[in-house]
Amino acid sequence: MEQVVQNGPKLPKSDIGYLTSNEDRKNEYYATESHIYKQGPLSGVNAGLHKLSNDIFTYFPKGFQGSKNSDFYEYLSLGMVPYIIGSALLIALYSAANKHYNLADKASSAKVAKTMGAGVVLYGLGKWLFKKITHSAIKGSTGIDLDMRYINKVNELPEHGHQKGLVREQYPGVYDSATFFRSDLLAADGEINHGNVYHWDDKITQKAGFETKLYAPNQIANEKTRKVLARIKALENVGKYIFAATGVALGSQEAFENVGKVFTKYAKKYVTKRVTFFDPDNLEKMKTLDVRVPKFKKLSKLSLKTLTSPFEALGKAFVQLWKGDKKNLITKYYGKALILSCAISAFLTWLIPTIGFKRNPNTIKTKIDENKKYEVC
Amino acid sequence: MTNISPLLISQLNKNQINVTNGTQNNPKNNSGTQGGIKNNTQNNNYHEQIYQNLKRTANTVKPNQPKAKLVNEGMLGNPITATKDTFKDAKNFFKITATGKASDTDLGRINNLGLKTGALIIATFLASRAKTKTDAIMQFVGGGAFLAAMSLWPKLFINIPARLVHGFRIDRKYISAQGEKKDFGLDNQFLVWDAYPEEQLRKDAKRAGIDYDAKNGKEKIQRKIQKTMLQNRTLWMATAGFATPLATALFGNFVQPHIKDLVVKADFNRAKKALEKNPINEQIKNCKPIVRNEKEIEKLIKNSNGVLDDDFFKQLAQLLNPTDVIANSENRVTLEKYNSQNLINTLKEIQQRKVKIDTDSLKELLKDAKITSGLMGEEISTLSQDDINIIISTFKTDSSERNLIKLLQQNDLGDDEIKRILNGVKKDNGEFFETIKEFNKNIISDLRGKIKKYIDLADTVFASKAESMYTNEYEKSMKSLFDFLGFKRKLSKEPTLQELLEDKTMQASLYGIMNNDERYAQAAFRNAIEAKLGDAKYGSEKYNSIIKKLLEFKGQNKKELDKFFEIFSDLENISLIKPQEGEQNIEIKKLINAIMGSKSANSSLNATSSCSNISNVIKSFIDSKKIDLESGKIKAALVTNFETRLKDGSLSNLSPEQINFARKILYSTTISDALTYTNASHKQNYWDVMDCILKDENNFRAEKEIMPEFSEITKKLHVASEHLDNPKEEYLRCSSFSASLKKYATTLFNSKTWLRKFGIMAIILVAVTLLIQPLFGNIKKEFSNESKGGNK
Repeated sequence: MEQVVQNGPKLPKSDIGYLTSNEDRKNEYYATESHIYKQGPLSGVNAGLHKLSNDIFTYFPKGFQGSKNSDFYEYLSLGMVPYIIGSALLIALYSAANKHYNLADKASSAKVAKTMGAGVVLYGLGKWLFKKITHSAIKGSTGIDLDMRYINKVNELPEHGHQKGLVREQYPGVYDSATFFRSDLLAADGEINHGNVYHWDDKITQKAGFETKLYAPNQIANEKTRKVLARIKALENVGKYIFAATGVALGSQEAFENVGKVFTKYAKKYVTKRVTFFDPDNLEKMKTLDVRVPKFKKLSKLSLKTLTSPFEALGKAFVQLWKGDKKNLITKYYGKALILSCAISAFLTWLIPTIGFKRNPNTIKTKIDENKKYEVC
Repeated sequence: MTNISPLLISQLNKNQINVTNGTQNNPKNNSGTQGGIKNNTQNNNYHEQIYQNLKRTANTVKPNQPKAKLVNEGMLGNPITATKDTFKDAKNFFKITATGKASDTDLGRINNLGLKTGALIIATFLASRAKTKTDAIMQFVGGGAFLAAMSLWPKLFINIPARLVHGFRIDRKYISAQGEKKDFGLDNQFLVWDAYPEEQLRKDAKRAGIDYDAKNGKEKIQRKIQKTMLQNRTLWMATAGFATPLATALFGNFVQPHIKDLVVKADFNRAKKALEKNPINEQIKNCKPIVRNEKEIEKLIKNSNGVLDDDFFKQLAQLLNPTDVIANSENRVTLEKYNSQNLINTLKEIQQRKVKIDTDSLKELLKDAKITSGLMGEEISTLSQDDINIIISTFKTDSSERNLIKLLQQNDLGDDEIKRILNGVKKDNGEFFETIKEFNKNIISDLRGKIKKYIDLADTVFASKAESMYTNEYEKSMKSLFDFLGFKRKLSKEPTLQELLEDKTMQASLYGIMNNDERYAQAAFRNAIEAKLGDAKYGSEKYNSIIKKLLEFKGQNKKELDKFFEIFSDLENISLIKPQEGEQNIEIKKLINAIMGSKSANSSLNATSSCSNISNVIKSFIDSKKIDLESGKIKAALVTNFETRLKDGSLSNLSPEQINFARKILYSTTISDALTYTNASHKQNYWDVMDCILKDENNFRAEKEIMPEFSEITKKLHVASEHLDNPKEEYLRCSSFSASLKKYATTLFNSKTWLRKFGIMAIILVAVTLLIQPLFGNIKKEFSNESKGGNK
């Protein structure tokens, strides 16, 4: 028997007229209701930038004024700011005072600052990379798109002295909460855009091994997504830090000590310089001497190597981390252990949620056992 | 179909309203038994009866008690509960992965767990790559300080000031109805006021100046608490990014020197314990002797009959060394060339136990050193027998170059010729000395292998690595010296060297010392000391007080160092060679001197010590190191001593050149190569100056009162200056004073600039967070338009 779909009245009739097209009705609906929007590869970046700009200009002022309209989403998005400031300050602690040091100290402290900076940047990149890998793997094997976002329309209360409250937009994720993920929005999106309320649920049940479409796939899909979400969030919150630690370890290798600006040409010129020094025989007097000294003039052409030098350094650092130092046992094998543990953690975060995902036809019993007693309530 | 609650059913049953099935007659009108109600009059009052029942019992039905409750925790938190929570998080992690059931708070808390494991992994990795032990420990200290700062910053600088300013706490925690521990004010739009007991609200209202019993009193206090919580949370988010890195950096900066002290002490104690388990005397007793069997040597010489083959030398070498040093044919040739006759003679003497040296043997000695070939051949023959005897005697017993040169000078030999002699001796014996270097090296490596624990202990104290007691002491003494002198970090107008030399009252800054050469450092030190001394003369009270301060600048490891020197002074007189009767040691010493020449090529060993006696070797090594360490401490005192005596006029016999020379020696020891080898008159100058400065004990009577060992040290320095091939290396070996001044000034400048920059940032941050607190929690505007009195 085929799946029977009963769509609900998600597109109410508008006051414009009964000949209004579905497009217009949809746009009217989208203007006031929370909904899932069409997403591309850059939607995560867009949401992040939206959060950041709103942090500085709206969420912080709202928080400092103590308005009633600050909610949990704003609090969580404020958490970006100390992360960015802290990373920048960690780098600055190693590099800002360097300009006062003498040449030798400057050179050695610049190396430390570069490794530190590389470590900080690769920390964030490691976390991001882990999320990308695991989410795409989970999407492939379970059909759950963990990066899906929706537009949340928040009708705020009017502030003191105002008549009307504003309507703000937020970009939370559909699967942010493990227990209360937005299955209602998925159903609405299915109905509006795909003509089938169970559109997203069917994808999940298909991956779970049901060959034909079910009558009420949302029951099975909700149950399965809840389990998958709980497991992957727990594993993600531990595994991303292993990637981040590997990033820091990569950043501390020698390859990053010499990353910097690369110029195309140096021009050598000789310049006479007047040097004063003391006379060893007559220590109170000073002698002067004119000396020809080479003057290196850097031409201001930055070569393409400045863009590629960080990536080259990354590759070299990878090799250095793998090889390790022969100083003692730990330095020899720690790099290898880190890289292998990265791979293992990524593999496990994919494996554990997907183990119990597929249904096993043998576990479902269709026959009643006559000898067993059943309770009817 | 409406849901009928069990409550209503029970009420219905009580009033005995019978509900029965439909009867046979099924009339359509309302009268009769339709619906199962028997009494016809009750049909219309069906709903009314229900209403009456509810009205009677409504007041007895109340909502359930709230299950959420506040947690009674202090403002600074409890480390025990914190550790318990982390264990719970770990347990939850495994539970969630196994069962797939989780709540959002549990998942959020697992993020903290991940952060801590990540920090631990990073710390262990960076610690394994660290070059010193203090660096390795500081990784863990830094990681721990980072995590502690993340949790302590809001507690100390936001929650406590808020409590003091407003009167109520903003960091309450509660346990929800589902059993999870949460922050009370985490979500601004979901505050569980059921968990907040009324007594607490009354107390808070009273402290905040709000009348709870008035109209809107409860709402006011609740709104105030909500508002302050929100505002402080945003403040936390704004300042956390600045606070945690700054706090970790400043804490690490403060803690590092103390950790270094602990590491140095631990190393020392460990080496000492290892040595106490295996004392040195037992180790040495089990060593193999160098000369295995003298009888075999005698047999070999007998059987050779004067024929010196390759085989002869090979066998001789094997008998003399534990390792096959002189196996190379080229080295054998040098041995043959330069000292074959000498060797054979001395061996013969050992055989015959006779000690006799004639002019012939001296001539041959010089001949072996190729001094006759075109350099001095004729002149030797003009020396008289007495002169030659004197030369022999001095050359034999006291092989100091100084006396030899004096003798040769007395014989009217010019500088050039003396130079040629010395160069000839050194050059032609150069190749030979290299073989002997190998010989020495092998002995020393043999020794080091056998007495490794001994050497380890010495290394922990004296090695020039970053974590030895020696460098630690030195750095501390320099630190206290700089604190005493009081240089400023940077001046608006930096003085030049000429200004410092002309105007004795001008003071330099650290920036100036850092960027200029060593003469600037000398002048800066001089001016600083003169500012302290003023017009004080040598021996006056002011001078004594300053010298006392300078000599008391030492580290905190004096006890350990004294113990160390005690250990080394307890050596027995043990030799590697098997002891025989009588004066065997002298013969062996002669033998080795014959092989090695009159001086050893390894300058760290004392020239006149023989390798046969380990205790002498070690003693001389330790003595030289002791001089290093102690001379490092008293350099500042020596320099002040010199300068004051100069001012007083007691050093008037020195010419201005000699004064400059003396300054150079004391401050920098950068005597150019031209002075060391070629120019004997300069050398004479050097020794005269050193005599003038260091020889007379009366010059140090003030210092002796404070530090009794002062005169001994100066004596040792004076003696050391005589046995010199290269005064640059030997005298005041632990780096020149002015170089160390410059080096320490750079480190001090760097650390001060860093602290200035980030200390100011930290102070501004703390000031802003504390000063903004009273501006929070203002609810006057929101409740400004409430009516006072009027209708309720």
